[in-house]
Amino acid sequence: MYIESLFERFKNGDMYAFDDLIVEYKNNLIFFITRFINSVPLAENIAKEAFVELYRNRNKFEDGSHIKAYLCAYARYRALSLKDTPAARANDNDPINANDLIELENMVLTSDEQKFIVDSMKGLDDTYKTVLHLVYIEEMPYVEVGRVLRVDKERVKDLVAKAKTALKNNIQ
Amino acid sequence: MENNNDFLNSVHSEIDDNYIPDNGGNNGRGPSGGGVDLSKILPIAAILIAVVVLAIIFVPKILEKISGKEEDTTPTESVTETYTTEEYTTDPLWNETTTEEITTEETTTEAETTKKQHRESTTTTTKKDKTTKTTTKVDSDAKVKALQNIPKYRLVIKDDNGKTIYDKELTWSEMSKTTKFGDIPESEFNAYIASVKKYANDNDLNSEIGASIDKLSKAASDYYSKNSTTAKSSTDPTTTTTKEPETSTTVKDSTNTTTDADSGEVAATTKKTA
Repeated sequence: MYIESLFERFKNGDMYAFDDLIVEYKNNLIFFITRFINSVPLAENIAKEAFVELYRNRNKFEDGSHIKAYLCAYARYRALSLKDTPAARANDNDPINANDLIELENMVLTSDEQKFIVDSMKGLDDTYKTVLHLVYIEEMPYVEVGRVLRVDKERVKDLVAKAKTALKNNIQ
Repeated sequence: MENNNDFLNSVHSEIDDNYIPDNGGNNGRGPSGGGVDLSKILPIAAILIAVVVLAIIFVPKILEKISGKEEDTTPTESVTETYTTEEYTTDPLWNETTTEEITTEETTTEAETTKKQHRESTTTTTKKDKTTKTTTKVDSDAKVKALQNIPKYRLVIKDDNGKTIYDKELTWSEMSKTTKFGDIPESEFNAYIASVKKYANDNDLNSEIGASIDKLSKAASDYYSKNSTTAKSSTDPTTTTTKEPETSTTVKDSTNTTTDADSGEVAATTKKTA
């Protein structure tokens, strides 16, 4: 309800509500982007782009229920497109970047279970990582996950099942 | 890693640089961005639209007015001018005829005007009307020319010594109004009337001068019958009579278009002996 209220105010021109929305989603979005690229500064830039796009397309949303899915979909698309560029690898050996990643992880992951899942996802396929992250970290319903991945709900279920199996194998 | 304020400022800066707020004004967090300022364009667009709308409304009316003025300069006016400047203006007979023609033209024009009001005249219609008027004018001109060439009567009066004291070609207008039949021999007068009647028949002028011919013939007939009675009584051998001076008159069928400006009374130059 809080997000819905913020989005309604934002649509009516209240830019402070927009600021609150950004603060609400900013860290989780940057952390989601770092599932694909290792650079926090680049992830931050992609997140900024996503919020600007949200501002530009704000009138296309009836309510705020799909905002998170929209932000994640845009961020995933941009991150995958920049994944193999030099910019994505520019901070690979940067200790500051490594410290930022840890700090970010601590801000987003609120339970040991989530931390365990994130640690176990390393080495998995990008699609599996995305599905598991959206379901277990962002706690998004399958329909919203389908919006991010541009697949239907059944396909999400199938992907989740396969991702769990891969995660299980990875843990073992 | 950026803190929240830096991140927010970056996002707003990006928005301000690339996007305009939907309300066209400042979004409350800094100067508005670039792009097209609708507030400057809208008044100009409104003026342009107003000009176009006014043009659509008034241009047809102006054109209609212009075409209406052209209609006003129809042959009706020009015909009037033509007739009044013709040399026949001084001739009452021609004036009457001319008046009739003008009346006809005006009636036609009114009818055309009425038609025009009913069916919103087009250019084609206007052209057609003008053609009709031209034809009417041509017909009128032909008739006027025919009236102009009615045979004239040459009246020559001599005194006792055989000297010509009056010699003038009298137009039909003058002849039709004369009452001085004494100066014209009956045979010559009848011959002249016959020639005028024939001319009127040949040129379809009976409606114009037929009545005048009949009137003049009747007046002449009355005069000559009366005069012949007097003559009979004057031939009484017991009374002294005075010989009338001989008058030499000639009838001439003239098609000359020259108009006699002098319209003197025939009677004024008639000389009688005691």
